[in-house]
Amino acid sequence: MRADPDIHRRTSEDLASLALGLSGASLSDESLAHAKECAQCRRELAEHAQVAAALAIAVSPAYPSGALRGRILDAAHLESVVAPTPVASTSQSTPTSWWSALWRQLTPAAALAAVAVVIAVVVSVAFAVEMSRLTLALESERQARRSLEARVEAYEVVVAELARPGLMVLELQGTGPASTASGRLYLNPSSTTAVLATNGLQPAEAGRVYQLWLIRDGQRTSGGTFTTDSTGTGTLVITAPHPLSVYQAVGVTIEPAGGSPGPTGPRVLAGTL
Amino acid sequence: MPQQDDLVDELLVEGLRRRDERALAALYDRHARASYSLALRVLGDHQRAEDVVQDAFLKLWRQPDLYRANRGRFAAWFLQLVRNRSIDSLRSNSREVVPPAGAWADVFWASVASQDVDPAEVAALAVDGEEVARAIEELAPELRSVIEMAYYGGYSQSEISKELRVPLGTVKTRIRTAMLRLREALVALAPGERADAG
Repeated sequence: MRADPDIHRRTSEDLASLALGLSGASLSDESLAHAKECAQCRRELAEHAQVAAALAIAVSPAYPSGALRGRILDAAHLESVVAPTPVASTSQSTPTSWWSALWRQLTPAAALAAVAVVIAVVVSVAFAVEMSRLTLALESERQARRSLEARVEAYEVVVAELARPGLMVLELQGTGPASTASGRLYLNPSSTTAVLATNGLQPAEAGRVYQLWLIRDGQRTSGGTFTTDSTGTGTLVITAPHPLSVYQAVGVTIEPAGGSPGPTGPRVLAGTL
Repeated sequence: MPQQDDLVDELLVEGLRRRDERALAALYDRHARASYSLALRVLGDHQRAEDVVQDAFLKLWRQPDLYRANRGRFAAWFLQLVRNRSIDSLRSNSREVVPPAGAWADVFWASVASQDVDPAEVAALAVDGEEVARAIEELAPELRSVIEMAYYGGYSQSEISKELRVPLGTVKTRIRTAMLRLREALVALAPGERADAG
């Protein structure tokens, strides 16, 4: 077979389009064979790939919305929680001798019926598994949505509180098992809403949460429960029954999940109003 | 330092393989802006651009093995993924743009990772986006239009041919010429070259 004298030119042109990621670009078998052998083509292809990479950054800088990051991370988290169910596989085991014997004795029609029954069972099981997975996924998604809505609501409260005149910042000191932790309480004494942000407060053990207490004349009123992440950061939006000016101090203790009617665990943060 | 950045990216992709959500967050923080900028350039629509970026990051999350360090820098690879998905979105029901795959993929990746290209030249292309945009602007109009239609517009060779009313062979020649001219311009812009010139 005589070699195509123009093959190098055609290959190098096709490689440029391929490196550029052109829709529908392709390489003929002849060009592919040539590219494998031609050092110049391979070098040019590598150079084209670099130019294509440079084109990707030759655009006006733009910024995605702040919500995109959360959407991606929430979706990834949800996928981690609801791990894909492994595809139900049929038995891999070797048929037992009685099964083999029975199978051999079946007429073609009976064998067909048996296969149909097996398929029906497998499809039913797969359907049930899929339904179960989808139900779980839906519930997880609902929970994630509720959590996001709560966060949005909390942030709206935070923004509103921070914008109000008369904002005060109260420093909370770490105590007991959390002596290196700290916290800040953002409040307006005339308001019933405050925001707590913690720093260096390690996540509570499983089944435990942190609970904030508002202290007035020795009486403790719960300001809500919260958790912290691996960096020790946690936030809580507090809604008090009375204006915050009537309380003399605040404290944070470790309590069972769901919170306690009164403090039962060790105190980890404290501050005086 | 570019090499250090590349190493960080590779470690973060390794984190994805361990299902570490913090690695995904870090990769997002490092590459979201460039990815979104590119998707917006192709699609011209904020919501669709965000959808593509989300889609690309989640694809990486589900299949971190799609990226292999021997296929070059993560940043370039990921932007290629974003660009291809943007074009797919642009063309909607049309034929999908696929990354190098199949018979020619071996040649492609072997060439990209080969020693055929002087590493100094690779570094020489470490120019910023504005300089690349300027180099595109300075191309002859007939070369600039094929590059813009092909890379950002998602046009196929035959569509460009039809749109510009030139033969298919001319389109292919213009694309290759444009790529070579761009490379020359970018190498000339590289810090080493400018220092020599000065």
